[in-house]
Amino acid sequence: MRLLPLLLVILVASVGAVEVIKPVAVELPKPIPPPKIPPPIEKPSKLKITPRFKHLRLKPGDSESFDVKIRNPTDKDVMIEPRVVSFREAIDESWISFDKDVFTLRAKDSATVRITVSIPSDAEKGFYSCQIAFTNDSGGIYVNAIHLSVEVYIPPSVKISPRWISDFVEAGRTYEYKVKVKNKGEKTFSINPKVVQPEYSIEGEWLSDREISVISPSTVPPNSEVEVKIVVNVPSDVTGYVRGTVDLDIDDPGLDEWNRRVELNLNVYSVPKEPFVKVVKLENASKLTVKVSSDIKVPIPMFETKGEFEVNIFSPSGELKLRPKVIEKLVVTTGYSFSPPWEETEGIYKVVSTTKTEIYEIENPENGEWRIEVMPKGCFGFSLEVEIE
Amino acid sequence: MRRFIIFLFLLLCCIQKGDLVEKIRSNPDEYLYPFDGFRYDNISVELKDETIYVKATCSELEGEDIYVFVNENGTLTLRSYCLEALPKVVKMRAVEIAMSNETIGRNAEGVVTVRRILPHTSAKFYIPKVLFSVTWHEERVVSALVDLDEGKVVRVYVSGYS
Repeated sequence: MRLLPLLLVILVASVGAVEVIKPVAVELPKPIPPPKIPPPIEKPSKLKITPRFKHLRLKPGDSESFDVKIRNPTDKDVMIEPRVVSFREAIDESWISFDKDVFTLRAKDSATVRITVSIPSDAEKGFYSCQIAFTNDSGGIYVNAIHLSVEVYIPPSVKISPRWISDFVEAGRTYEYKVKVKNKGEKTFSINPKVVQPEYSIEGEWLSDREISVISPSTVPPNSEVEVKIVVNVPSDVTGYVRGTVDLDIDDPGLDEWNRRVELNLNVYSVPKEPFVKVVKLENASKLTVKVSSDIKVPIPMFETKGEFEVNIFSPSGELKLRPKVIEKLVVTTGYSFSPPWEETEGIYKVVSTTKTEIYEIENPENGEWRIEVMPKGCFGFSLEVEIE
Repeated sequence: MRRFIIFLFLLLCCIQKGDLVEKIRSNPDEYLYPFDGFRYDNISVELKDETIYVKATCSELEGEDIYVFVNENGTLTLRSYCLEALPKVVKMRAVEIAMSNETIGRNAEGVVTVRRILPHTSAKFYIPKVLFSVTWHEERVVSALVDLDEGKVVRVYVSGYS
């Protein structure tokens, strides 16, 4: 093979020079056998097959059968010979059986082939697939075939709840989250929690085992529930979203790596240390009205917010001790027809929100600079209205 | 005699209704569905005409679960329910998933509620499993039916939307 270029070089070098070259022994390449392509069928007998695709989800040891209807619309008889044609991650041929081996399907006639898929009890979890061909008609692909896909799954014995923790947290504070691990199975499983970080870069800041600690029992016994505590020390210098992942590493074969993890998604906020201040200048006003309300629209839902705030009003002479008029506003649903159809709440009163408004009225206010201070306590914000008459 | 028969009939009805109330009190697990992994600490059962109102709370959870049963010939049928006793983290996660839907993101305004939807209801809209209804209550009611396991919105509702 290596001698061939050498011969060509000699021949090229010889062009122009009238020289007779003696024949040289050359090792020629061995002929490559032509690829094995299934012989094209001139007129394949195209059968009507239903279904063309079948997906099954089975446990190890399970078995399921389904029927495939084959109709021969052609004018000639066709030999039906069901068999498994495998691909990568293929279904083992031994898992599949047919109620008919070889038979002739008469022209314009129909037949049903029952296919049974039996998963061995030691089969591994995963996705498997194959084609089941009914005739030899092919032109690279089998013309009369169906695609069979099987997911072998092992139902988990362990349930982790919650698997996602989303919260609003304050920078520099410590939070504890409780995760319940319930074992409905008959076997004890081990728990080896560890804080993991994504292998590749994902947007946002990720907490490590410096910020997250996990307090957990080492096992979850059969038919019982244990509690895992995840303690998060939110760094004092972070803002926005921070995330963290705790892999409980429970050795239940039914759990995948991703569904034995607890994901933390924390929105860090900073609470103002000083009150909000509004200064108003009054001159010969007959009345000053100040309205402070927690009834504001925020883009994020407010859970567990009390809607409280502290209001202090200072006249030019000093702080005033005033008793406000308080208005509490409730939004109540009744399961009326505007509710989504999946909420079957007919006839039930539900308070969906409570907001508070404080109104301070000062008759004949003193001339000069007035100072209104509002300190939010347990609310994300407030509205402030100042009316001068 | 006729009056006595009517009295006896009414007495039997009252005993039967009382029995049903007692049934719920003594076997809450048979009639009520607390959030997975939790038990109710406080259950109140109230009978009004043919309707039985049950309010249940769990000290570890925010919110209250309300069930309304009707007595149909001695059988308790769940007529309506509003289940809001949920872990905060579940509510937050459900809202997050709901907000990831474009229609919801565009229309969500006002106060939001997260309610658990029982499998018999979910079956009418998706598949029979516990789902979560995340609803914004403003002039326009906007809601997402959320499958928490799959992390996706399975149905969207916007009142007056065409």
